[in-house]
Amino acid sequence: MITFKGVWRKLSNKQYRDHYALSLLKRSVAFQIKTLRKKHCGSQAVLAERSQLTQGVVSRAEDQDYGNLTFNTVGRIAAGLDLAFIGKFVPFTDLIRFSQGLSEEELKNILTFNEENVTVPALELLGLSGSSSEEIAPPLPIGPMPIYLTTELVENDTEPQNAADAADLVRTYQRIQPKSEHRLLGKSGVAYAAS
Amino acid sequence: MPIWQIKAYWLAGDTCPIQDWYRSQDVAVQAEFDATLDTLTAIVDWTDTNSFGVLKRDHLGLGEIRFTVEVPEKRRFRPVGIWPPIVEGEFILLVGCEKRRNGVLIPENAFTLALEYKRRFEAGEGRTDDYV
Repeated sequence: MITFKGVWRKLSNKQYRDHYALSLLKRSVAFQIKTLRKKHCGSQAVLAERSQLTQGVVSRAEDQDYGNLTFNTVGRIAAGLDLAFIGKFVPFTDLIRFSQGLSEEELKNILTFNEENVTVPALELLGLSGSSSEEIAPPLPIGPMPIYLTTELVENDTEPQNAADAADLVRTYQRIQPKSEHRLLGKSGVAYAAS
Repeated sequence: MPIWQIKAYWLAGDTCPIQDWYRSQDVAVQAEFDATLDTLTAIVDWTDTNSFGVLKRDHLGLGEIRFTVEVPEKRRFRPVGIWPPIVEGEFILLVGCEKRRNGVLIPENAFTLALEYKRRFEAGEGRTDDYV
């Protein structure tokens, strides 16, 4: 097995780590797309249709040697898979952990939005469902979501003592910026709304 | 966790052809090779990826890792190895190889050499160690 120390020694060469990070980026994205496509869509044609792309583009996206994917293409493929893709800058220790943790089996455990919404209440995942861990968040509404403006209470802010206080506070924010629906995120992670 | 383990074949004289080949390559080639192996080890079925190919006819029993490096110009590489049936999830690298546009291999006898090392390995000569 390739050890962390062994990889780190190679990465100490700047030219090597530049090439390695780029190569792993293009290869791991293509690998993920192919694995997730097989699980969620079966054929490239189905993913292409769901992503509003041609099959040729999906085929290229799965080619580990290609490496010229645009953000738009990756974003559309993520939408076709009903998953989110996040690009993230990380230190090289994270890159090693990422490369050593790559696995088809783990990718198959990634849930689409609908799978996640059924198995785990999404609001609870975000810490927005209320103070009690036993409280189950309602299912998310179907259709366009309102645009929320979330204000986080910080150290010197006063936490509302009850629901009425919280609603008053949220309405205050609502008056300041009437075009948005406000949420207030308490210091303990509890979310308050106007009603 | 990786599904496959990558090993390197060491000859009886304690030289390692794949390591020697690796060290003789540009840094860009080394990095691309390592990243190719990192993604391959995460894939269960190597026959379903264009990063690997099973050799046929005269070179039956060998498999080639496939990757290209585009800097500064496009070059294709085909390091060769074997996957002993008795050890599940293990791939042993035997020799490094570059495939030129006209199909010429560098070194020219790479596949023949790989078959010879395969024969020696199966005869119990040499040893394998982790590929690092």
